[in-house]
Amino acid sequence: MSATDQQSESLFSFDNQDMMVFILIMSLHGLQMMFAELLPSFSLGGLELELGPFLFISYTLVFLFRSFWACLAVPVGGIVFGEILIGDFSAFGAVESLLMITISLYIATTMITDPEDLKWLAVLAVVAKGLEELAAQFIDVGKFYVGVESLEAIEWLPETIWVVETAGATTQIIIAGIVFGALPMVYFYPRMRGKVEPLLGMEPVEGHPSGSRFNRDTLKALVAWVVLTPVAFVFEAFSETSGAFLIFEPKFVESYGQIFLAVPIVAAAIVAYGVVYYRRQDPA
Amino acid sequence: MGYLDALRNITITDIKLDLMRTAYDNDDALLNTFDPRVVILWSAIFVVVPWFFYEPEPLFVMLVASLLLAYLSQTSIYLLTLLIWGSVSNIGFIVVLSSAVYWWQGGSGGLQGAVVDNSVALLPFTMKLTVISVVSLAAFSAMSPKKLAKGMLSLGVPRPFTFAIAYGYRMMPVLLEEYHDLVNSLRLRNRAPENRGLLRWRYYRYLLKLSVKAFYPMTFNVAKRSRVTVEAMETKGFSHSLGDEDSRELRLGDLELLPRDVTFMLVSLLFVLVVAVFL
Repeated sequence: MSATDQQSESLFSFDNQDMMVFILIMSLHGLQMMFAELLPSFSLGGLELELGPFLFISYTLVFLFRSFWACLAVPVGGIVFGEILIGDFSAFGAVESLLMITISLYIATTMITDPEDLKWLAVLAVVAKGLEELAAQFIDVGKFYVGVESLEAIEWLPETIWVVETAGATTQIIIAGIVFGALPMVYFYPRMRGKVEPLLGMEPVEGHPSGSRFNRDTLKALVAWVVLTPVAFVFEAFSETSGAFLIFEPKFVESYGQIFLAVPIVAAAIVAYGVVYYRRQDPA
Repeated sequence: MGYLDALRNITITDIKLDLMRTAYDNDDALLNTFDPRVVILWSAIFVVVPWFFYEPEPLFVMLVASLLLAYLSQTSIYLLTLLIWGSVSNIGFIVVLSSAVYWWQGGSGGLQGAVVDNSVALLPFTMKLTVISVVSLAAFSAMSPKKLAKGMLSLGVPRPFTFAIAYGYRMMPVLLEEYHDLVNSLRLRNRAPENRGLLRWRYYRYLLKLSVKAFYPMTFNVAKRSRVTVEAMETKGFSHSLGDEDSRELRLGDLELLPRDVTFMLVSLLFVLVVAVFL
C-alpha cells in the first residue's frame, strides 16, 4: 500500500487504490441514489421537481480523488444500485449514462488548478451537471424525433417537446446541480480533504500540473464529449433505429403469406433443441 | 399534496422491506429459473420488438403479456406503479401542454379535439415505452444479482463491472442500515424545530439537512470498509484472477442451457409472431 503519485501514472491504469476509490464512490453514490428515490417528487411530465439526487457526495469525492476511475464510479454506482438492484435496468440507457456522466465529470476534474479554491469548484460542479444535462437533452429530444413517426404531423408538438425538455434540464441543474450539488459540496469538501485520503493510504491530490484552468486535458475531454454525445445517442436510440432498418418485409412473405415467417423459427427451434440435447449427452 | 400524504403513510421500514424483497426474494420467480444468458438475450430482444409495431392493438396485447410476466416474476408492485405512473404522466403532460398551445394558437377542432388527436398520436409511443420498461423490470428484478453477474460475465461484460453488481448486492442492506442509523443518531442529538410551519415544511427541511449531514460520517465508514474490502480481495488474489482463464471457467462452470430455456425463448418468439400475424 505505497502512496503512489497519481499524476505520473497513465490515465487508465488501475491499481488497488483506484479500486478502493472506485468502491467508495460507487457505494456512496448508489446509496444516495436509493435514498433520493424515496424522497417525494412532484413530477409534471418532463418537469421533474424532486428533492435530490444528492449529487454533492459524488462531486465532493470525485473532486477529491480526481481520477478517471473516480468519474466512472459515479454512473456505475447509479446503474448498480439505482437500476439493477431494484430491477429497473435498461441496457441502452445504461450506456448513455456511463458515457456522458463519466466524461462530463472528467472535464470538470481536469479544470481544477487550485484544490483550495471552493468557488471555482462550485462552478465546476455546475459545469459538470450542465454538460451532462445538455447531452441528455439532445438525446431525449432526438429520441422523440426518431420514436414518434407522426411527430411532425402534429402542429406545435416538436416545439413543446423542446420547451419541456429545456425546462426539465434547467430545473435539474438548479435543484440537483446547485441546491443539492454545489452548495453542500462547498460545505463538505474542505472538511473531507486530507481526512478521507489517508484512510485509503493516499496523499491528497494536488491541482492539475499544467496550472491553467483550460488545458490540454480539458480540450481532449471536451473533444471526447462532442464525439461521445452522438455515440450515446446511437446507443440510446438503437432500438428505434434498428426498428427502422429491419422493418423491411422479405419478398417471400408476400408470395407465401405471413405464416411463412414460422419456417425460420421452427428451423431455429429444431437446431437449438438439437444442440442443447447434444451438449447434455456429451459430458463436459 | 398527495405525494406527501402517501409518503407519510408508507414508513421507511415498508420501503426498505420492499426493496429487500425485490433484490433478494426471487428464488421462485419465473424468470429466475431460466439460464441468465437466455433471460438477458430475451430481454434484449423484447426491448427492440415493440418498435416494430405501430398499431395500438398488438402493443396493448404485449403490454398485458408483459404485465402478466412481471406479476409472475414477483416484481415489486410499488416499483411497477411508480414506473407506469411515470411514463403515463410524462406523456400526458406533453399532450396537455401541446394541446393547450395548439388551442391557444386558434387551431381547428377546439381544445377537446386537439387533446384527442395528440393522445392518439402518442398512444402507441407511450405503450412502447411502457412495454419496454415493464419487460426490463421483470427480467432484471426477477434475476438474482448473483445470477445476473454470472450471465453478464459469460456474455463478455468486464469482470470489475460484474464484481460491482455482486458487491452492491451484498452491501446494499448494510449501507442502508448504517445510513438509517446515522440519521437516527443525528436526530437524537439535534432538536426538531418547535414551529413546524405550513405543511410542516420546517420539519422536512430539518430532516433533509440531517440526511445531508449524515453523509459525512458515512463517507469515512465506507472509506474504511472499501479499504478492508480491497485488502481482503487481494489476499484472495483478485487482481491475479482478473485475466485468468481458469478462474473464469470455474466461475461459469455451472451455467448450463437446458431444453426449458430454449422452450421459453421459442414460446415468446411464437407469441410475437402470433401477435404480428393476427392483430
